[in-house]
Amino acid sequence: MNPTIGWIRQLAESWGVPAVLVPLVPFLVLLVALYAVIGLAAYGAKRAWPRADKTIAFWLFISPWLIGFLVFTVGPMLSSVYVSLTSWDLITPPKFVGVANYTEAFQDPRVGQAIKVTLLYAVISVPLQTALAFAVSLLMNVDLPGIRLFRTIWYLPSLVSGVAQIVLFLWVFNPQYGLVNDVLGKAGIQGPGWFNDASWALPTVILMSLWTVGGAMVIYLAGLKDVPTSLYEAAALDGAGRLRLFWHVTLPQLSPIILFNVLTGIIGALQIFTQGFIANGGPKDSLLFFVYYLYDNAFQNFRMGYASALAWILFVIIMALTAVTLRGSAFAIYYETEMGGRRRRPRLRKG
Amino acid sequence: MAVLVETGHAAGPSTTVRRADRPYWRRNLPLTLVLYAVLALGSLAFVYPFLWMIATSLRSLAGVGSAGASIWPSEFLWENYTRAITSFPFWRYALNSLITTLIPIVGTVFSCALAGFAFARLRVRFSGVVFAVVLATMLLPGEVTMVPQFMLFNNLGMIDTLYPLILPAFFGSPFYIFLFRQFFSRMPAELADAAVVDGCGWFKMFLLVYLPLARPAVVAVSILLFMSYWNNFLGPAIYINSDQWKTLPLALAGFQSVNGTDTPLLMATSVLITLPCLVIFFVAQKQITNGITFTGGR
Amino acid sequence: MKLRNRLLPFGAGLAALLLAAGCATGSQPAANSGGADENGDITFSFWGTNSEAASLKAIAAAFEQANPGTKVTTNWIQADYEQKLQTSIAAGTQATVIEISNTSLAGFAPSFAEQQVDPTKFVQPNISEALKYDGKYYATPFTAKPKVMAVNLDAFKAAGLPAPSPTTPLSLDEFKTIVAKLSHGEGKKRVYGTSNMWFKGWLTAAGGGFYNADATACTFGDQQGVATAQYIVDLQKQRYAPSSIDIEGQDQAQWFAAGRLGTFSDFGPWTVADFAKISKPNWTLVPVPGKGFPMEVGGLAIAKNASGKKLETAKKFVEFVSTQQVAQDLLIQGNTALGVPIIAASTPTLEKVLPPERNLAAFTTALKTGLISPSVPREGQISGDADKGITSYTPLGSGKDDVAKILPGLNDKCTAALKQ
Repeated sequence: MNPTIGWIRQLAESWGVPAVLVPLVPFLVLLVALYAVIGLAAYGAKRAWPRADKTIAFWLFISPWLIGFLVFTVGPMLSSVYVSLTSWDLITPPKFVGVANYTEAFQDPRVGQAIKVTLLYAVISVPLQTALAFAVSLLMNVDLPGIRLFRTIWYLPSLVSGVAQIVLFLWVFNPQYGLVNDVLGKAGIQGPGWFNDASWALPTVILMSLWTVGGAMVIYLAGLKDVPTSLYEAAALDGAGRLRLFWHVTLPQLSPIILFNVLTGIIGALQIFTQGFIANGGPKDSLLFFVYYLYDNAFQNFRMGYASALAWILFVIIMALTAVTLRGSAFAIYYETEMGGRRRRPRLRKG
Repeated sequence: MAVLVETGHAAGPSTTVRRADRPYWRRNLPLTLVLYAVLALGSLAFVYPFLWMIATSLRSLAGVGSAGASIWPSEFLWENYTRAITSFPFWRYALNSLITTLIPIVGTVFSCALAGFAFARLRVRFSGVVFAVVLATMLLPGEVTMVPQFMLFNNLGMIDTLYPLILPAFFGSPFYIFLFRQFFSRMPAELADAAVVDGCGWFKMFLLVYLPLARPAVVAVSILLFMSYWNNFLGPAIYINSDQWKTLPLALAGFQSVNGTDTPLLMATSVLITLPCLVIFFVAQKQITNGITFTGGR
Repeated sequence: MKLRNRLLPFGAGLAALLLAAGCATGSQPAANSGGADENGDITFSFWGTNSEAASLKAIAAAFEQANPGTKVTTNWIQADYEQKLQTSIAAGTQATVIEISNTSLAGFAPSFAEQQVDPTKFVQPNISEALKYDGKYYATPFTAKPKVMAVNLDAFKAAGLPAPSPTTPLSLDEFKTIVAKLSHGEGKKRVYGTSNMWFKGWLTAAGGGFYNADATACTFGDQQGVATAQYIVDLQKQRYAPSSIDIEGQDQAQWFAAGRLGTFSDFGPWTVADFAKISKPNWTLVPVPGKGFPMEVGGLAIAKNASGKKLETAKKFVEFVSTQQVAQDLLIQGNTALGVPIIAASTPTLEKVLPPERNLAAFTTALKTGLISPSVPREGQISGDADKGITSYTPLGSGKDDVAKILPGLNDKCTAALKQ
């Protein structure tokens, strides 16, 4: 613990602050001090430049995010550069080792395996999920009696997520007594070992991820409902068939949502952890997801330096990946709306 | 999240035009039947593990073995649930889970709405650049800062407390800032003008004019956040050591490794953990199954 | 526009929310922070199943009762105990008294206070020996966890086999012949001669070991190790023993009750509860074949940062748990036990849990002959990596590769890691 923090804590304890609140006091003190400075600065700025009112308001409004970004992201990342150059088990003082952690990481076959498993999962599960969710949302968008019941049923599984879902699927895919192999067995098929089989473990996790496709489904459904009917009618008047309607109206209208979902899907896939954790990395490291390997090194083996080096490698990979995906996705949507916004405003003025 | 569809089409009066005169199923009966078949089969595949989980949670240990894949409720051992609640400090964990879900929801919604509003309505110099930074951090997985954040909270003396799971939520999350920004951008600019005429400050305007109108967005974001905070596992796995601060997912994972062969107990606990999500679902069902929609605001 | 007006509600709101967060987190005291102790209240952390936790909570309560005015807050850590211990030590929030197993003592010794232990108080001197590191005691033993074997007497009778001796262990060859005769049937009705075989356990039984005696090298991949692995793989191939896939998610005690197992090795004191309710098939306990499975010793360590009154109470508590009959008797809860009591006065308590024909006295015998594995630092990582390799690649887990090809390589890696 930091000495200043410890000092404030002791002060708080001696003032009779309840024990559960004691850890919070130093943080609050720092935060209040910070906001006092910000408030004073803003007040001063306001008096000096009364017309900058909007600018000051803007910075105050985003100050929570900005502070959080600096305190919880930028600061820790900078300090992790140093940690990545040390050997440290949390208990004994860190020892400077130079780039040894990085050289070890580049030679560690498990790093390669972790990258491979994680990328494979992302590359396979995201398109599959997207395609399935989109197809299902098209199905669910048809105006049939009882469709709401079907929507409910298909959405329900996505409520069973996280640890509960994995606990359930460990049983569903139990090689001897599980649901799936029981059904396959009745059909005369000898099912695979699923989570217990190195070559099946990853496909099993991907299959599991498809089960919760309902979450993405409702998002596409919302998008489909937002497509203006007039567009379909206009296209239908032009004699477009169902397929052409889909290709020329539905798909372009939904493409920003799809792109956005793909992007968040990739980010989510790269962050996959719990599955690897519960399966303990899977047989032959078949479920050694990168974040799990990172966690394993940091909080199971307490190799903080090595884990920090791994984090930086992950960071570089993700930056490279998103540089590829970015153009078509969030930035595209952002710039599009930005442009749209600029186009709209003059029009309003004219009108 | 229809808010993401901003492809230029202004919200027009087209919503009043009906697509067709006759319902779909009357127009094309054979295709309808095929659709129903697909829907029914798919539903079976989707809901079966779910029902199996519930059925298994009510069986005896021997019953699980003999029942196999069947979901026929042959036994009703409700004591599996009492066992699940009594065999570990269930209420304590549930309370911790609730605390680390509800308070962060409030924090995230408030801080993100605040920033989202600023990006949407307070267009000033550099606001575009800052927003690009927000979008960029969205792509940065929090796991990268896992180790240094642990050190930060360690320095703050917050290891083995719930604070590391609560506090960061008050400082915004890029994804939801983005969603709120999109939502506020869609609101008519005249609102702001009217508020300025009334002599409102920016904060007052945000709090009294925009935030109440953003109710659909707040509700939708809260639902999404509930699901993710309630199921958060990595955070508690890192920061929580002692029994009294454990959350339900953490307890279930511990349970899985300690009592891994007691399937009915595991399933009963899983059902109990899923229950709040189910309740929220049935309360907000219309909002969810019709698509979590932000468009209700207009 | 008044900025202060804008700032105040936000700041106040944030503060109020944070305060609410704190209040809502309950009124229980936070974990002991070590320093600045004005009272002698201590915390006590441990791992284990529900029944094991019940035992330790009962002991803590008994201590409070015997020493009015003291308070022991228990902290039950279900999973990843060593990891949680390490983070809490790093954060300075570790408990005052910490349960520690002899196998993981080496890694934590620097964080524990040295203790004075009198080996003569315990039924067996080697018990306290297990908690020495660098020649000094860093924990006091309070229980031992020897393993015995349950045998299905009905199955033995049906196969025309005599019941094994209640005191003399079978040899591994005899065991192999017996389980072959006990196995029969097919599919989900298959009766196996033995339960799933624990490699580390059988390795010790066969005279080998995971590490060498002074813990400077791994030895599970030496000649003895490969031979033992082959022994297990053979039994699995003959379907005399279920593989780890066969028992995935299965409760083997349930199998034993259903008559599907002829013998059940890896029977620890805590297994008694699962078997107590089994009356058919008729069963009894015998020693594990060969040299038996390694015996774990449960110890109590005191955090190095404990001082003043807390340290005094902690010492008193450790003394109470390891030497007082009241506490030792509480290791046995109903029909199960966290471990075997290590003082002579409490030995009968465990033996009387079940009728004499079940032969719980086998535990007492095993306690005296039990072998103790050496403790290595970073045990979790080193044996964890080795285990992962073994279960991934060989039929001892879910793999298919030849043990003779895999084990020596893993062994070398393990030794290299040990020397790091």
